[in-house]
Amino acid sequence: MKSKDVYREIAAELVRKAGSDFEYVRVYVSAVEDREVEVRNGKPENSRFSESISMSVVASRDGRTASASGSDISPEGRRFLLSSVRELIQVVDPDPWYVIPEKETIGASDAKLDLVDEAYESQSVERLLMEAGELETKALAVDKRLASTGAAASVTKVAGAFACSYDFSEGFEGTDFSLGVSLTVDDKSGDSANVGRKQRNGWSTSAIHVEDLESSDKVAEMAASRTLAQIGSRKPPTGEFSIIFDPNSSQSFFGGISQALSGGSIYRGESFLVDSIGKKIASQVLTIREDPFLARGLGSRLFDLDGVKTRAFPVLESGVLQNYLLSVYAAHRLGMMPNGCAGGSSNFVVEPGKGTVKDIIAETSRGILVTGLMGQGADIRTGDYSRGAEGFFIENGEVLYPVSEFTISGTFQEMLAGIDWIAADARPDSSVLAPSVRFHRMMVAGS
Amino acid sequence: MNRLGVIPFSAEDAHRVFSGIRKGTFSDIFLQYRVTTSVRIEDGIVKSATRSVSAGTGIRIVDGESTGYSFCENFELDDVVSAAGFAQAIAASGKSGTQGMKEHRISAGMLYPQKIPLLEANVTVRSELVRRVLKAAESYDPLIDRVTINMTDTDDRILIFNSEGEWGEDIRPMVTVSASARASRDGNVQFGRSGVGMRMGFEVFEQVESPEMIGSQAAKQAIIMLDAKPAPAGMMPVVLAPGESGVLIHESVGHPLEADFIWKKTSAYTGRVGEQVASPLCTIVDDGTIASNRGALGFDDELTPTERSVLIEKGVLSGFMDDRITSDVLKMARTGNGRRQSFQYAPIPRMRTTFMDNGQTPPEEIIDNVKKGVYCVAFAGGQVNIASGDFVFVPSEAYLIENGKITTPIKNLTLIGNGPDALNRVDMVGNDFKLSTGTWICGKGQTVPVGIGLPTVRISELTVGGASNEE
Repeated sequence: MKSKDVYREIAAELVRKAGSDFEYVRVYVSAVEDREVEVRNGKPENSRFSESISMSVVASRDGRTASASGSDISPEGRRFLLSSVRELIQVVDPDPWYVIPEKETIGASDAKLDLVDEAYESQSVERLLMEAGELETKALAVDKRLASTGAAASVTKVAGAFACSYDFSEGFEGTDFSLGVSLTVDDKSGDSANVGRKQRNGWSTSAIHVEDLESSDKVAEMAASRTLAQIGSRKPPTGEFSIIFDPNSSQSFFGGISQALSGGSIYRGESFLVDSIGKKIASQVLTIREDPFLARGLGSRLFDLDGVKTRAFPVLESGVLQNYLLSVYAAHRLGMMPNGCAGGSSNFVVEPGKGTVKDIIAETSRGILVTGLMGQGADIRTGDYSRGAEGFFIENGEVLYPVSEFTISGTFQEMLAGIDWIAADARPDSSVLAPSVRFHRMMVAGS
Repeated sequence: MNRLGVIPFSAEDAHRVFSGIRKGTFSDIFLQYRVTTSVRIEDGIVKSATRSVSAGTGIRIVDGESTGYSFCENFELDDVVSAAGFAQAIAASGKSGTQGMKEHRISAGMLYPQKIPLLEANVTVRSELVRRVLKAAESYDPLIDRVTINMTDTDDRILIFNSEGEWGEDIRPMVTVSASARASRDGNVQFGRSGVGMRMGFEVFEQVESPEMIGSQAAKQAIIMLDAKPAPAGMMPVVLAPGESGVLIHESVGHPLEADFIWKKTSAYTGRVGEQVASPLCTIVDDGTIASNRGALGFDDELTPTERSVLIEKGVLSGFMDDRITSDVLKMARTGNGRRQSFQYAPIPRMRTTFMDNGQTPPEEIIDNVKKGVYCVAFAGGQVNIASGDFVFVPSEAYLIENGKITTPIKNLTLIGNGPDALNRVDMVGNDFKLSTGTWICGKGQTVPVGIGLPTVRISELTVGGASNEE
């Protein structure tokens, strides 16, 4: 892997080479170095060392745009990319909404993101194997009924660069560390034909800096307690209940909201949130902001995939929609200004409320805590929402029993409007920072 | 040089790599050159065209139950040798038995010939095909107000050597087209989707499905959904239409029968070979030999020839899908299910084309026998929890069945069941078996194309997760 400055040179040179044939060209280079290991029952099972690179060129002229990508960054590889683009652009039609970015929008914002941890270099395969092994041992020690399906540890380093026809080029780099374990426990249930039923769960942590990882004691404890808690799970009754999402489920819900707000979904009419700026689309308690400048944030960045300077801005204020997440092209189509979100949100931050999931449970008279979701039934185009789930049945502020093999259904619109509690327990290991939330009522299909 | 033309790596080169490896009991070299071309239609015009090339060499060193993996993004001998150095990091002992092994070629056969080869077709061929899809979708109904079409074709060239002296090469084509149509009426907006994905050349549009059919099917589904009502919630009989409903088999029983989940004892089917695990009406097969199917492979990604593997015969569990490592540790015959997303990944047990075999009952009779239930035709996908057996599948086109008749279309539903329970509740199987020609992709850490199939099937009771609480 080379330094970001080397990639910056390569990207800028390719833009210059392409220059005479096209009106506007942008090049993106991204190299990834990755070491990961998996240990099961104390023995190393997999190790992987990889170094890969991807270079893409997007070029346009006369309103037509074509692109090509590959891993060969040699002069020959670069020539091949340009010849592919020249060939492909011939079959592309002129786009009436074609636009090249305003020069002032291009550049890197000024912020300190702290995205590189030098400790990366010292995380050898041997050391990762030891950490994964220790984690597995700790998790299995919690309860002798538990079996391991593997503990994994990995480190990743990314370096790359962007360059475009405005004679702008800039590099980027970052590291990522992760550690996790997955467990099973036998759980034969009474009248089921499924005599081999088990419960499987786990826990993992990831961070830009190794010191921000959760401790292996905590990961082991979480993995074990989540797995054991599911023993004896059964279907809940069919009916309407309050639904609580833990932070992991909440991440997936708000990840969907962020997609529904992306400029591409909006101008294509493939979002339930078209024509909604200035409208109240959610409960009063919900405020969301886009924040590309979080120090050590998993989505933090100084410019987006268009090379547009990023900035922080409000997305939702007390339930009222303020802004979409816009690339240059989407902004142009919608008659708005680009806001540094080509490629999607950087960090999508749900403003914390109060307490944790435990406080919500204590204040819930009858409902279900959802700790896992399954399936593709979250359709941001129409807002339809119907997903498989597992979790715990709650009555009078107490967890009664684990539940599984049921669905929760409604629409994104109803769910947003029905949020009546936002906690303050978001996990920092995602670019969607979402705490536990409670939805007033949803349809549950169980027994 | 070999018949692939683009991968300059010889048996002597492979031998030099293997003889430099000091540890491990088995190793292989996987070389790949893959060219992908995509054309996209949006706003009624050819909006963009993209080409990507993925080329590189993966090296795997196996030491008993441990696997070390690394790769380089070229075919240079020096880089492959240094990748081999990284790959042997976790191997403790042993030595590949390469010296003196006689070279033995494994043939990929001729499962996916191309009459109109992808690489020889001009880009104009592609843009004309997608325009035909567009025209058919737009002209289907005036309520269709937006159409998006993506066509992607891939020429995938593979060359494999292993430390036992085996080698093989293959050219694996794939054409994938998908169309999405939006219909709007009085503020009600609905979407329809259709697609075709086959291992063929561009003759797929003459032999399997015309561009016009792909476009009009997407439009038709969107129009149908305009009249859809919220789906009911609760337990009821579910009838699956032939073809696409095979997603049920893929999720509910396919994944749990992949041998890595058996080896790790994660699967609910661990240790149950010979037992009745499904209704006697169910025979479940995974087949890599169906010509031109999305899951077709001459040999898998570690040179094991593929086969027709019977997993469940008349309800009795008969076998699992394995790769080299799991076949060795579980002492089972090799089935040829070792697959990888690309040279960047080590192979793991994966499905090819998975289906439930034909039954006896005419499909009309099956629907006749349902008083109140749900009929599912097309699907957005599915997911399974291997350990508990719980699975979901998500219909994108479904109807109510009332008193033996298919009636109102319904929307916004997920079906959830438990694999072994659901397969025991299969109480009618149709005689109208069909393979899906759809664009199925399976994700299990790595993505690979797969095929699915099924005749009309009735499950006596399954949880239907809709949002309607009306009786």
